[in-house]
Order: sequence, then structure tokens, then C-alpha cells
Amino acid sequence: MSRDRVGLSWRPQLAAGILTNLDRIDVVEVIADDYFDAPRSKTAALRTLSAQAPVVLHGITQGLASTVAADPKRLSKMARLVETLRPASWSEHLAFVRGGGVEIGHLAAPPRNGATVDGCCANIDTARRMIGMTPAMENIATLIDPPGGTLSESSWISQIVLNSGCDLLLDLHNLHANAVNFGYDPNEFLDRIPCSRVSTVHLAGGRWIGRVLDDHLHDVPDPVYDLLGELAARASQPLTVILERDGAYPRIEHLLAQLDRARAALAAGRHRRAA
Amino acid sequence: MNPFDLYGPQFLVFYLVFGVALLAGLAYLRRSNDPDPSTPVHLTDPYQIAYLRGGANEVMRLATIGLIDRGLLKVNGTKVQVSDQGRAAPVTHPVERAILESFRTESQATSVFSNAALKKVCEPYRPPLVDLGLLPDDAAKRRALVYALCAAGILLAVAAIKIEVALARGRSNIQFLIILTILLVIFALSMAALRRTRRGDAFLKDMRTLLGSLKDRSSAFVPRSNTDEVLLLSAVFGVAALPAGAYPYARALFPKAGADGSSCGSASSCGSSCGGGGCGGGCGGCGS
Repeated sequence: MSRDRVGLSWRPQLAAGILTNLDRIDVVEVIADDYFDAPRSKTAALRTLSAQAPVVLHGITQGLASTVAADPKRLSKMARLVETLRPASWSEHLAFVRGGGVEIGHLAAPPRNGATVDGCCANIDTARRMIGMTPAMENIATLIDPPGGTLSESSWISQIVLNSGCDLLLDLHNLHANAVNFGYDPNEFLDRIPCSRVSTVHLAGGRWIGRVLDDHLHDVPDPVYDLLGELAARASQPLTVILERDGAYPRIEHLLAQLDRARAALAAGRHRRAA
Repeated sequence: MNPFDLYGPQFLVFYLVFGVALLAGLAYLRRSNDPDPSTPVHLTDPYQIAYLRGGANEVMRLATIGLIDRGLLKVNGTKVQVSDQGRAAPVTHPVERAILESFRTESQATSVFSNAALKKVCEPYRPPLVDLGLLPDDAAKRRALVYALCAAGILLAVAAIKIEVALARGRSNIQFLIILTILLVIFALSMAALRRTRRGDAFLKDMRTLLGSLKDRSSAFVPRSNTDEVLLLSAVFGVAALPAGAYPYARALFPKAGADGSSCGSASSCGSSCGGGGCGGGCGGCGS
């Protein structure tokens, strides 16, 4: 069985730090949408990056968690990128990004009901057929409880994962933020979702604005490492853990130290599972 | 139609078109056996990248800058000497150790370029780059040389025949043909040097694309705080890319190629790199 992998999201500002520390970075996650309409030189450079380290793709604009059919143009762009790069996996969000022909420029939580479960599963199936790989779907953070829901978040996610056959990209800071903001126990959330279907984990940081805001500009907080350990204790499959950072970039050593903490949390969780 | 029967201006046009076509064919032929440039390669060692970009001289330049940034060498104008810290440091990297040794006494930074022993220490970087298809092997270099000599020979032969025909017919207005011939032959011979393969050029271009923003934010660098990133930036873009504010010694020690014959003109590294065409900015390390 392959081992857990811990890596960083690729950001141009971190490029040199990543390329000079590949002995401590197992995998690099690239935002796919940045390359959809990129010149050939940029895509070629991405292929060279993929020769230096394993690369996985992460999408942000497909908006698959919707009753609106997925946009075939965007999916074909993803398909071209997957064909060019041949990553080990690709992922998207359990969110919608457009409605009524209007792009909202934000990952929005859809109503958690049977209709969006069905719509999301249909979109995942379309994506699987067009791209040849099933996306891992990521839970999102939300500051409002989306109206029109009939299902809990854990039940909604579980139904999508089980009905579509996709893997789950579990963003532990999103889970932490939602748990704090809506007052539930994140460990109970882990008990209710199929942890055996988690393939990838996102770690990030945020800040308190009266609620936890998932801004990716701060260090990973302690409770998120605790959740990683909890997940590792519940899941036997290898996990790919990605640290996301979108600004206020510290020195690379600071980020590498957070990767080391993630490895330690994983190891502790695995140890608990084995015990 | 016998082209040698053409009148002067008409023949000049014919000869120009013929020469350009010949050079285009030469450009194609000299790299026809290159490995597929679209195949990505794994390479992140700054010294290897520096060798790919500018040969042994670039490796020495990079090692010197890196040792200064780590405080193991100290700078005095255009001269360099091992610091007290450098004398005590357990340096194991062969090139860095050799550079430190060469600066036991204060010397001009550019003195490393004429140090044969140092060049020898850098040579182990070449075979892996050839194996990766980034640098041409000896056979490819020979082939490029033969093609260039053949092209030059053909150009000279055609011109010589026309000159002989013209002189036999009592015409002496051959000056333009001679000038055009010299220009075309110089072009042809400049294509004899094959510095990198297309894959090597593509790799450097990709690295420049990946690290583009690093170059943009290089002004935020703080000396002695991030030597690894400094080495990678310098390896890919050349020491000239280092911000002058933070690294004023970089340009002082290794000024532009035109003012520093020993660093770029005398060795095979930058001289051939920039003179051989298809350089693609590879002479950044010469200080340009």
C-alpha cells in the first residue's frame, strides 16, 4: 500500500521555495483553472513541474454541486489539461458558482436537499465521462446555512459520495470553520461521513471575524491538526494532504514546518488506529 | 536556366534566397536528431541548471555567489577571499570546496574562470545533462560542425563560380557578392556551435516560466537568509537577475560579458552559448 503524501498548493510566489525543497514536499496541487486559457508556454512549464514532483489538479469554477448541468466547455478545458498533465487525481468543490447565467465569482453552498444531490451526481457523472477520471469532491466553508435544505451537511455529502462513486476531498479547515460557526462537533461529523472515501485532505488557516473565516492567509490552527489525526485514525487508505496558502506568504521554512506537523498528526492517528 | 548567367543584381537576389534556404536547412538539420523537447525532465539542482545554461563558468559564478551569501567568502571590491567562517566551515560540496580553496588568498573573482582545476571539478555536471538529452553529445556536436562547414563550403563554391564567370566575361562588379558571401558564411559558421539541445532550451524556458514571479519579487530578497532560492534564481536567470540593492557584489564581481573577457569570451560556456544562435537569453549569466 502506498504511503500518505503531504504537499503544498502551487503558487507562483512559492515556486522557488517548493522547487528547492522537494525532498520535503511529496506532492504539489495546481489550480487547474489558471491554465485553462493559458499560453502553451505556461502549460509546457506545468509539465516540467510535473516531472519534478507529483502534481494533482484542483478546480474552482466547475460548480458541479448544482441542479444546473455542468458547463461542457469548462469540462473540456479540464479534460485537455488532464490529458496534457496526466495527474494522479483532480478535484472540485461541492459548491455552485453560477445561476441563471450569472457567474457569482464565489464558491456558494447550495441547498442541501435531494435535488442538489441528484444534480451533483449527474454533473460528476458528466465530468467522469468527459475527463476520464472521477473528481474528488471538496466540502466547502460557508458563513450562512444555505436555505432550502432538508439534509444535514454530513448526510448531504455522504449521499453525494456514495451515490456518485466519487472520492471526498475533506477540507479540515472548512470542517473546523463550519463546526465552530454552526455549533456542531467536527468529530461527530467525521463519524457520519464515509471516511473510507476520503482520498485527499486540505489544510489551511483563517481568522476570527465574529465567525471563523476560511481565508487561507494564516497558519493552520491546532484543532485542524487534531482533526487530521482523528481522520487518520478512522481511515486506513493512504491520504494526500495539501496545505493551502493564498497570500501573506511566510518563508518556505514556516510552511514546511506546518507540513511536518501534518505528518506528525497523520502518524499519531495511524498509530492510534493500529493500537 | 543557368543561374550563373544571371546579371549582377539578379544573381545577388538568387544568391541571397539560396543562402537563406541553405541556412534554414542547416538550422533544421543540425537539430534533426535532437531528443523530443516536449519530454519533461527531472532537474532541480541549481549547479546542474547553471551548467546547462552557461557551462562550467556559470557553475563557478553560482558557487561563488552562494558562498558569499552564506558568509563563507568576503568581498572587497572586485576581489574575494575566504572569511574566517569559511576557513572553519565543513564544506563538502566539491565545487564549493574548490572555490573556497581558490580564494585562500584574496583574488579577483573572475580568476576562477582561468583556473583549469576548477573547470575540471565542474565537468562531472556535463554527462548527466547529456544523458537527459539536455546537452548535445559529441556526435551531435560533430554533426553540427560538419553541416555548418558543408553549408559554408557550398556558399563559397557558388560564389567562386559566379566570380570566375563574371571575371571571364570582363565584369568586375563583384564587391556586393563578396560582402554577401562573407555574411552568409559567418552565419553558417556561427551555427557550428551546438550549445544545448532543443530539450535543454525548452527546459530552461519552462523553468523561467515557473520562476517568473521569483524574478519579479527578487527585490524582496534579504541577503544571507535564503541561499537556496538565491542559487536557483541565479541558476535559471543568471546572477545579473539578483537585485543590485541586496546583492551589489554580484555585478561588481561578474560584470557584463563585454567587459569581462575571461568570464564569457574565452570559455566554451557563454561564448558558444550566445554566439551559436538559439541562445534564448542564456547569456544572462554573463551579466547581461
